[in-house]
Amino acid sequence: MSKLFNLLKHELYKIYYKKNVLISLTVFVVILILGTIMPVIHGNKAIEAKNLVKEYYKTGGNVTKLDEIKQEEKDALSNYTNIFRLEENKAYNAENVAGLQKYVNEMKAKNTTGYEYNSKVMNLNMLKKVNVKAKPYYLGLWGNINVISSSMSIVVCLLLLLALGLSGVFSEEYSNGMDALILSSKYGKKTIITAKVLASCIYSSSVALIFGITTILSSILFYGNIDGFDSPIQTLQSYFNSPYHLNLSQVYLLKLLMLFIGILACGLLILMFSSRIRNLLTTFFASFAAILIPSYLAEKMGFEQDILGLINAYGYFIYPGELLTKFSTLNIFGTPVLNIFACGIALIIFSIISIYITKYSFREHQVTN
Amino acid sequence: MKLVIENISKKYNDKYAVKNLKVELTPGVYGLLGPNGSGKTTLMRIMTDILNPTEGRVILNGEDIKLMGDKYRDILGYLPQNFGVYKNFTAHRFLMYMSALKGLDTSFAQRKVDELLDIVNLKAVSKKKLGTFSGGMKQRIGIAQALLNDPKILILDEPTTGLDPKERIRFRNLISDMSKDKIIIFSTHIVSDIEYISKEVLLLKAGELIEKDSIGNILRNMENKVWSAVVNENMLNELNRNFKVGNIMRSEKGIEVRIISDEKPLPKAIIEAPRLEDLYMYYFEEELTDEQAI
Repeated sequence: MSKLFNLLKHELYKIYYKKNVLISLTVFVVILILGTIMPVIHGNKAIEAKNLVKEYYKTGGNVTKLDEIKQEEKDALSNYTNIFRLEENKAYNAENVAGLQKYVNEMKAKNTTGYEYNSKVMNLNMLKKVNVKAKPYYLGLWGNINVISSSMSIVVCLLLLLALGLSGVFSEEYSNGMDALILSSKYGKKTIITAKVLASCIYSSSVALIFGITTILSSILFYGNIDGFDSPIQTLQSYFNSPYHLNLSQVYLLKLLMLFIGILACGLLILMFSSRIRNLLTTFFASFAAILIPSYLAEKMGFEQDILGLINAYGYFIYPGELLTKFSTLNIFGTPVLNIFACGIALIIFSIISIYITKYSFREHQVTN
Repeated sequence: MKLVIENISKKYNDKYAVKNLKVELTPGVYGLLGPNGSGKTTLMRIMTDILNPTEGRVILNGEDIKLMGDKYRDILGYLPQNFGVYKNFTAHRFLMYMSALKGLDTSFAQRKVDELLDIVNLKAVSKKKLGTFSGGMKQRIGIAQALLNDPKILILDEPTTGLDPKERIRFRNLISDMSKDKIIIFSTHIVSDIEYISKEVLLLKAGELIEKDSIGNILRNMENKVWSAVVNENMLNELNRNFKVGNIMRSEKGIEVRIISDEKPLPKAIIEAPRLEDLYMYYFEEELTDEQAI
């Protein structure tokens, strides 16, 4: 075990002590902090929302100007407060439950079974559990976190960081001729691969943790408090249609967990490419393509409800908001399985396959040039 | 200890890099001599288990090295011909990394690394990054890493490349000192590197073993085949066309040439004692170009 840790220490050094990785990690932290500061500085919507909530409590819930605000304005303010959604949510949920119940009853009457029926029943049961009672809150912090964690630019940054750190783990050994030295050494065909896989997982985890910690700390620093942590996610604009019985802090932790799993899986996928491809740049682009192309295909070809949608498991988990905003299941041999579970299991399977291919590729690598 | 190379062949498409090679090695230094493309590197890679042969196997004390796995690699030291280093690693860190790969305990590795850095004359620059090292310094780091685990089988592919004459002598002496209980295979096309330290020389040509014997015996076989003569420019041209011509030295007397020939090439030619360099000319005159080499 100590031999493995000794090698792991060196492999971590190889990944982290690269100028481009260190600079990129720093730039990433700066981008996250700027992403938090900018709305605070420029976003008077956040301040407006804060004032509205203050007024609500001062007047005992009698804020006359609430009705005067236009819908467009309400939508913008809803990123920072749940004040507009409370009544709407109750009504929307009740309407949804009633509509779905009616639909299910009709299907039952027609003796309809199978995926569609089961999926509707599942949706209905989840909606019934949704908490529609909430106090008005200023949700600056949670709104900001939600905006940052649902940003495609951040996802691209995360992938770039992973590819920068991990594309060279094996490719560089091939291209600089270290493969011959490693493979001819005692631990060069087994332990070193485990050390490289572990080092890559640690690096991927650190990228996810840097994201999670920087986002929450900078948000607390600039928005002041965690008010609204127990507010149902449906009170936040982008989750009004969500069937999940979760509050804002729970959904943040869940998204972070999904992102963590997604990043780990992406890291292992990049590592697999690195073990197969000698050229660093090719590994870099192949990894990007392998994650983004299935995501594009799944969306364009409407695989969302299909088993083929699993090809986008990486995409769903590194962009976790998507799966939580609406009821989404996969038809797995007639049984509805929540996309979040199906993709999670798929990612675990894909990752095990990635590790196996990585191990096999390096162990059987033939030094020929 | 006996290392047997049993009918090893390596084929790329329809071309043999090594063809049906059989040889038995016991402790001592073996010089592997051959021109570019003769299969030296391919053979060494097969012996280090980083390249699978198309046919045949390598056996150590009756056991296939493929089946021995890390048990075999544990007693192996290897210096590849073109090896890379991590440019941002210091010499010390690089050797500590190689020690970890070879399974040495950290405290033992510290001592061994210091000792080897001293031996290869790099102690003063042990904290410098490898990216700043010259070719010769990198080669010395390569030699040091090959010796870290005190290997019983040491395979060195062109180890003296880039070393200055003083370092080459130091290195040869080091190899000679260690050779008592080790099998050392040393490839080169610089014949003087192996002239004084090899127990036997393996001559490889186009992937085939054409000779395996002690230097003395090989040279004895070449007796009466090495001639010298003093010629003029015209005769030199004619000799070049008809014979294998070795050293050419222009002096006040004329052009002194060394000729390899089974028969007396010129009436005034005199017999010379053969040297290893003549042997190289005798066997490998039509050396492959790099482009032809695999």
